[in-house]
Amino acid sequence: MTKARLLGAVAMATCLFATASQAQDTPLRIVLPSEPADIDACNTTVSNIGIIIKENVVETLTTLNPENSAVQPRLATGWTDQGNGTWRVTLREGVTFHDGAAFNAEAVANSISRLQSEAIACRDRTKIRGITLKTAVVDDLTIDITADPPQVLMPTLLSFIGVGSPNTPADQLSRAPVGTGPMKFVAWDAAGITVAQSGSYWGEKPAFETAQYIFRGESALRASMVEIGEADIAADIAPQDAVNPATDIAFLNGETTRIRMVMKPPLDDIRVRKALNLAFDREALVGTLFSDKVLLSTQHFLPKINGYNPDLKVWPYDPEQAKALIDEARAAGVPVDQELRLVGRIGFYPNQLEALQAMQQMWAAIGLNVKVEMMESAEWLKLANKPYADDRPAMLIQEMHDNNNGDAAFTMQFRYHSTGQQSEMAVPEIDALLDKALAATGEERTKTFQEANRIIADEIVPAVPMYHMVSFMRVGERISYAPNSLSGSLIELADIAPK
Amino acid sequence: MTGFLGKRMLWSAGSLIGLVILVFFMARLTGSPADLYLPIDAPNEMREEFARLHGFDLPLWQQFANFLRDLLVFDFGDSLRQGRPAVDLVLEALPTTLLLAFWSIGIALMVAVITGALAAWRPNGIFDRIATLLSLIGASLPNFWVAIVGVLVFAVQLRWVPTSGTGTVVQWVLPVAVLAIRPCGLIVQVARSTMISVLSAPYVKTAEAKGVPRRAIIFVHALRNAMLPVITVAGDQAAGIINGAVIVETIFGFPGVGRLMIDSISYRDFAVIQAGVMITAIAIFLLNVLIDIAYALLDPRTRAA
Repeated sequence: MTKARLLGAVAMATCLFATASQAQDTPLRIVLPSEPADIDACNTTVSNIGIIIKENVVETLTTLNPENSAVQPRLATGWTDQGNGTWRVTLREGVTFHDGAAFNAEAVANSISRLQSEAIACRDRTKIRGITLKTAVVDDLTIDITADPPQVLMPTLLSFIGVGSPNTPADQLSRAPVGTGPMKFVAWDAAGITVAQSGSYWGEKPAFETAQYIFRGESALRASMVEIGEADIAADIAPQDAVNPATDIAFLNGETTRIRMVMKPPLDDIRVRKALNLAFDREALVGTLFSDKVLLSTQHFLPKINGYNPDLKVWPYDPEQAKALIDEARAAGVPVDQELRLVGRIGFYPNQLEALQAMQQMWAAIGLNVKVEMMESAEWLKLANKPYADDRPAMLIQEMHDNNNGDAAFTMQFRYHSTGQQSEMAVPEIDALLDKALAATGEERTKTFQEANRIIADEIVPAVPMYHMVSFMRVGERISYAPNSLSGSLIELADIAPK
Repeated sequence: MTGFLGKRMLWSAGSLIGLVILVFFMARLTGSPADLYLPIDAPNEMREEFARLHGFDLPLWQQFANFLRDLLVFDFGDSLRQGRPAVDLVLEALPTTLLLAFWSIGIALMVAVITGALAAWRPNGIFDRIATLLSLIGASLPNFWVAIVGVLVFAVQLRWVPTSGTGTVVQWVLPVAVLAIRPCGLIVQVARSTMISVLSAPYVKTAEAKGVPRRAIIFVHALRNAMLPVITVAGDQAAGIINGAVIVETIFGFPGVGRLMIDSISYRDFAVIQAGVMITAIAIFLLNVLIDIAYALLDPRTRAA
C-alpha cells in the first residue's frame, strides 16, 4: 500500500468514525403534540407524561411486552404469590437513583405510599382503583406487597408503579423527576424537556447521549420538523400529514372506538340495537374518514389482550334487515321515531364529526331520527360517568378506550359490570361471569372473559363496535425506530438507534 | 394630563375588578377541573378527593370570598397544573407576548404608513390599486392559514427560517411576519383613506399653492394629521396580540400568554386564567394610556380637552 493510499484510508476511517460519533452526540429530538402538566413518577400512565419519562427516567417494577402483553421484569426481578393477596417481590440489585439514593425495598414502599397518598393527586392511582396496597419490607431487596382485595394480576399492576427517589417531595407533584432509568432529567424550559444519559445505569445504555422533547400542537408543523431535520420523531401526526411512506409509520395504538347505547326506550329494545349495527357500513369509512390501516372491531379492546374472543364476527352491513327490524319494533309499539342524541366528545380523533354525521345519515336511511351533538370533555363526562341522572333519556355516546394492560379486566369491569363507572348494564349473568373471571387465572380466566364477551356482543348488543384505531408517527431518516401499540404513551429511548 | 390619567386609572380599576369577578364565575360554569385533570376512568372518590385537595368542594360563595381576600394582596393562588404561583407563570410568559406585539405592530406600522401614504399620493393609480388589493388580502387572511403556509414555504421548501421555537432571532421571523400581516393590511387601508381625506384639506391646497413639494406635503404636513386613526387601529391590533396571540404562539411553540391561557383553559386552571386576565387587562390599560399620550403629542386639541 502506498503512503498516499494509507493516508486516504486513515482519513476515510476518521470521517466514518466522526460521522458515527456525531450521530450519537447530536441530541435526539422528539416532537410531541402537548406539553404535560407535570412529569411525576406517580403519573407515568398518563400518555403525555409516560411517553417522556416512563422507562427512560423513571422505571416501573415490571413492564409489559407490547406484542403480547406478557409481564417482564424491570426493577423487580421476580414475584411470587404468597396467598391472601400478598405477593413477595424481589428487587434488582446494584441500582441507584440519579440523586445517589439507593434503590431498595424502602424506596419501593415509599413510592407505593406516595402513589396512594391523599396529599397529592397521583393519576396512576386510577390503575389500582378500588385496591389498597400495603407494603412490608422483608430485607433490602425483598418486599411484600399486599392487595386488598387480593389481585391475581399483581405482576401487571406492578407495571403501573413508577419508582421515584425517596427524596421526591411527598406533598407535591414533581416537574423534575428523579428515577433509576437510563436517562436523567436535566431541564424543563421554554425549549422543552431535556434528558441526558445517566452515568450509573444498571442496564444497556441508549445510543443517544441526550434527548430533547419539544412541544408543538399543530400536526403539519410536527411533520415538517422531521422532514427538514429539526426533529427525529414526530408523534401523533394527522392522517392527512402522513404522506411520505418512507418516514410515516401507521401502528395500532391500543385505542378502540365505538358508540355506546343508553338503553332506555327505544334503545331498550334489542331489535333497535341490532338495527343500528346492521345499518352502519363500517367498510365505507375505512380509507375515507378513517385511515385505511384501522381494523374493524368486535370487542372494545385489541386481539392481543387476554380475554379477547376471536370467534366473534364483525356485524355485516345489511340496511334491508335493519329497516325490517325497525319496522317490526315500530309495529310492536317501540317509540323508534323518537329523537336520539348522538353525543361526540371533541378531540377523540380526526374527522370524527364527519364520521358521526355519516353514521347519522346511515341510520336516517332506516328511519331513525338521530341528531349529532359535539361536547367538551367535562360536559361529555357528565353523561358518560356514573352517577347517571335519573331522567337521562336514550342516547348514543361516542367512546374511545385504550387497553394496553394485557387483560380484559381493565376494560370489562368498568364498562360491563353493574358496578362499573361507565356501565349501562346490570345483567346478573354478566356480573357473575366477570366476578368469576376476575378471581380466576390462566385458561379459566381467558375462557370466562371470552364467554362474557360473546354474550355481550351477540345477546345484549350494548354498543356499535367501530374500529381499532391507528396512529401515525413520522420517523426521521437518521434514526431507526419501529413504533408499537404502546408508542402513544411509551417511547423507550433505548429502542432508538442511529442509522 | 395627570388628572386625565387619574380618572382613567380609577375607571380602569373598577372595570378590572368587574372583569376578574366575571371570569371567576364564568370559569366555574365550565365544570370541575377534576373531570379534565384526572383520567377518564378515575373513580368518583378520586374526583371528590381532588376537589377537596384544591378547595373546589367548598361552596361557591366561600371560594369567592377566599379569592377576594387573596386578590387584595395580588395573590391569585397556585397553578393547578404546575403547582407554582399563577402570577409568576403569567409574568414569565408576558415578555414573550409583549415582544411579539412590539415587533409585529412596529413593522406593520412602518410598512403600512409608508404604503398608505404612497397609495394616497395618486388615488386609483397603479400603486394604489396594488396596495389596496394586497392590504385587503392581508387583512382577510386567517393567521392559522398564513402560519402553516409560511412554514411550508419558507421553512420546508426554501429552508430560510426554522419552523418554530424561540431560541434564536431567526426563529422570530415567521411568527412576527404572520402577526404583522393582518394589522399591516388594516393600517394600510386606514392610512390611505385618511391621507386622501387630509390631502383635500384647505391647508394642503394652500401648501400646494405656495409651491411646497408634493413629497414634503405628504410626509411632513399631512401624515402627522392622518396618524390619529392609524394609532387607534394599531393600538387595537396590539391589544389583540397582547390579549393572546393564541394561534401563532401555539403553532410556533412560543411560551407566551396566549399559549398559557389556552393550556389553562383546557385544564380549567382557574388561578392562571384569573391571573392571566388581570395582568393582560393591566397591560392593555397601560397600552391605552400610551395611545392617549400619543394622541396628545400628535394633536394639541386633545391636550386641551
